[in-house]
Amino acid sequence: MLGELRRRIRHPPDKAGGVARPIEREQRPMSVRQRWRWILWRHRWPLIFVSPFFVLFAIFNVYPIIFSFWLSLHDWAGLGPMQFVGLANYAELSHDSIFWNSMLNAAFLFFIYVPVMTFLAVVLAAVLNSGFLKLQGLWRALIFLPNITSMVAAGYTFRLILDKDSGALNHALALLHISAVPWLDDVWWARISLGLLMIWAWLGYNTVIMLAGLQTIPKELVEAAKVDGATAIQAFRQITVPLLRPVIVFSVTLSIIGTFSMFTEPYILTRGGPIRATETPVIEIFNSTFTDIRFGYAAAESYIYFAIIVVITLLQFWTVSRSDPAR
Amino acid sequence: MIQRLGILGLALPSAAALLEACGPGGATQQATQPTKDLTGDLTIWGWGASLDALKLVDADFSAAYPKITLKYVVRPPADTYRNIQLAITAGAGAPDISVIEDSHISQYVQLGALADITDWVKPYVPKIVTYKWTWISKSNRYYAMPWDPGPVAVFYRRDIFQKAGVDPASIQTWEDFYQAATTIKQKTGSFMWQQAKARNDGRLFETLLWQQGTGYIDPKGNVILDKDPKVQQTLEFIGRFWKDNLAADQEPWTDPWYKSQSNGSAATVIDAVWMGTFFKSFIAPKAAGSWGVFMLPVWQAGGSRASNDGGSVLGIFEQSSQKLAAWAYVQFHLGRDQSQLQIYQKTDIFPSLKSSFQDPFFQEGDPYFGDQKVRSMFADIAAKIPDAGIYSKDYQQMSSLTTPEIQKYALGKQSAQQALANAAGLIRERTHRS
Amino acid sequence: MRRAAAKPIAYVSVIGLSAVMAFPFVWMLSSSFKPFSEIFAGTSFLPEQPTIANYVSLFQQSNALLKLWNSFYIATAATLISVLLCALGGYAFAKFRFPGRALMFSLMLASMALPFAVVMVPLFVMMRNVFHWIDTPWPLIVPGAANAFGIFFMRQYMLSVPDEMLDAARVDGATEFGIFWRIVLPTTVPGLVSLSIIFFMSSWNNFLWPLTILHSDAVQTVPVMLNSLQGPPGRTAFDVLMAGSVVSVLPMLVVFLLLQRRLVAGITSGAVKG
Repeated sequence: MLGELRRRIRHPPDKAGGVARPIEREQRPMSVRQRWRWILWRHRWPLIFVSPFFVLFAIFNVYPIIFSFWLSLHDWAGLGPMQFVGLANYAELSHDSIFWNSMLNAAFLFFIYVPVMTFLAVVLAAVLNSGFLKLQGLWRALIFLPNITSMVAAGYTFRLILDKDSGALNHALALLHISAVPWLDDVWWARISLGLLMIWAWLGYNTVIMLAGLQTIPKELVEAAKVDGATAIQAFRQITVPLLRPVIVFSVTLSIIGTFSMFTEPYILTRGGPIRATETPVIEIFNSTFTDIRFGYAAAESYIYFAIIVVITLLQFWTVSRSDPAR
Repeated sequence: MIQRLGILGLALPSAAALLEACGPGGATQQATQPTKDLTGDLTIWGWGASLDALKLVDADFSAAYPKITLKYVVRPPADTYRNIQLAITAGAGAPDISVIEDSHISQYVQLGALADITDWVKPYVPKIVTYKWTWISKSNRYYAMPWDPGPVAVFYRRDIFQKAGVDPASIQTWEDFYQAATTIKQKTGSFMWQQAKARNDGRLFETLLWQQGTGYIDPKGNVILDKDPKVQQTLEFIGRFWKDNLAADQEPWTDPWYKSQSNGSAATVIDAVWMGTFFKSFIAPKAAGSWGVFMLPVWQAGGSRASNDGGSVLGIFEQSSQKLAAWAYVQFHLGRDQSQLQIYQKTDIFPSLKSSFQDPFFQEGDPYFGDQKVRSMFADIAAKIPDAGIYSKDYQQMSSLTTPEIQKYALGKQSAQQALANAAGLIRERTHRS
Repeated sequence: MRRAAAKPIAYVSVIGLSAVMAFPFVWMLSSSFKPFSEIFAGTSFLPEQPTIANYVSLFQQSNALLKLWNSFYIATAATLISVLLCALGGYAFAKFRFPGRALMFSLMLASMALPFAVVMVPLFVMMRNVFHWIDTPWPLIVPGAANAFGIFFMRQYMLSVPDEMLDAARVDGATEFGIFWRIVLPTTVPGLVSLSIIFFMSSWNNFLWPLTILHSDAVQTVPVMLNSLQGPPGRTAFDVLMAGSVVSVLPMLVVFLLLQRRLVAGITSGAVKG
């Protein structure tokens, strides 16, 4: 990276600024400082254009991350003096069952809804792409609609629908002579209910992504396979899905990050319960901050949470690249 | 809010300046007392029942302080606390005054969120039920004004008891209570009480511990959940009702919970005196005469029959720029027999001024409870509430760490002993106690 | 035979799925016209005694109009500023070569994987102690103003702007910012619109951060208001809540119906081109 940087500095590509000015380079030798100044000046426009992002990034992301580490070494109730405690918060965190339980919950949730949702999205995209259906735009819009909804509104609506005693769903099940399901009052049902809300909210989004992916796959390939005697389902499994792989990977990556940063949905729908079964890491960090009012501890939790997400993301990239058939 | 307060700050230099002068350090001189021309625009937080009660005194208050205007913000208790905590941590957005339950007040006192009003409340210390001062003082300074105590008794359905042939007077011990529960279930099909399993909130558990003078912690602050055998016995006693299907599984403070109280599928509700407000106002407003009250059964002969649940105070926030006006409000609403009685007569929110207990009203029967003399009974209980380690600055954490363990026990996922050991471990860990 | 069977199956499943997706909206709308008792007693699909009391309460007691306005201007301000800054950044990455570009670009991409919760606590402390921005709209506008996703997204669009056009303008003596403003922006309007919708919607529906920042009644946004609506004593205000939910969804619905194509284009460009 540095080598490339140096090469570019020595031989600035001529496209910069559009008009090449070879004469300047021929001038008398410059000191390092002058040279840097010249380079900055020469590239001032792109640098100015990207600077808002990097300035804001430094102030509102990089600095907080550093500050957060400092905070995590303290005991602080948000008001009054901070007390330096070294790594005590991390030591406590290492065996804090509530925090690790929240991580586990996120993992459970991921496995409850992401496979189902991804499968549905791929199939639905294929159906919409097949040209079987009229009014394609209408179906796509209806399926996408939940994604534009405030999760606070959706969460409360689901709470109403899923209520054990007076919810619409259990009333409907009663008509079918199925006994009431404790949608929000049982550890696993609550997780499933949360998964249902997530699928409801994100199926359309993922379908749209898959659909776009499908549209990049040449129809001839599938047709050719069918000419060779493959059934539609075989062609789909053996041609379409592998070609769609990068898009599926992208969507699953988004879902991983999405699941681990879930807050509003469990906060409104299940309130983290019952028995902390749907308490996500972000709810736990929020509670440490604003209920227990332990800023230092919350900062330590944020750090470990961050580390875990980085590890999971790397792990996922590694698995994906290892099993990539194109490799 | 900030802007509005800014403007008010300008309009109110006198109040602010006066306050500075008498401030917390205020030496020995007399605190500045509110006067009739005091101006202010007070924001008061609380939940429906409590604010409706305070409003009963507002007409008189406006006559006494015509230049103070009031704005009430009604939210359920949990939301009120969350907003208080957010405002405290944010350093902005707190109201001038909030209703705060005894369970939560200690945390805010310790955090320094509330104004030191020692000089103003001192004269009231001997006049108010003593135990109410426990959670609002820190190093001999006072940070809130007590409002209602929460003396607990058993509210029971006369019709169901009658149908089952159970005489409430025969229920002397908790064992009797359990026997009555079986009879009632057999004869009427009603559950004895409501105890949610997966959505249990731990309140009854706390109430029963309080009755025995035990709790989460001992007076030194050490966790005793797993040490005091009474705690485990209590939880196991509650557990018997789950095991024998004598408890209705409904989340407290939700519609199904209210419904099963009003339709008689629950025969008793063990709660504090303020529960009457909820019965009368919306749970079963037309059920006058069908509810009665008896004192808590004892755990062993001669044991305490008194316990506490909830109860609240009015706190003035340190963030408030109009503390004197706020004090005028608090003093007028809680510092006078007349106001406290006015509230109690209409709402079942119990007074804490001892002098108000002398009022003849206490000797009258309550028509809603079939003219039973419940008021003197609750006054009796209020005077005998034992000291217990339930409320503290870490109450919220202790309770939220314990309830999931109770829930797991309720669902049969672990034993009572395990539940308490887990809860105690978590509490020690998180609140740095031994 | 298989094809013949496939079509009805496809229809039935897609219609069924659409109905499932639409049901919560229908229930929300229907419940918003029910009195409280009916919401919990109710087995009936449509309100038996329709009432607009919930909406009246929403707009009178909870001052929903003010909250709609708060949500609207915060979302608008945040969107305009972010889209402009993202377009600038995207333009630089697409059309200029400059020292450190590759490094900056990968740094920016990496920042996309940073979940908000990681910086929530320190950022909150900064907003409170350094900026004194609690209870103001700034924390909802400024920190997110330059957004890595947006820059990446605009870069993809800017790549297709022909270099000849830019060079011609330079020869004519246009300033670099002038070129951006008069040539680049107008040719990438579809991309700007897509990005605007995405930003506007995410700001409109944002909950966690406004919940920690906006406390006073007068500055709250719609989702924060929903979370603190007043119900009948002792209950969650599901009646007013449903009215509030309808009100919170409607504006987005209008935006969606008008600009659906652009929104979908926006969402998919990241997945397919990236």
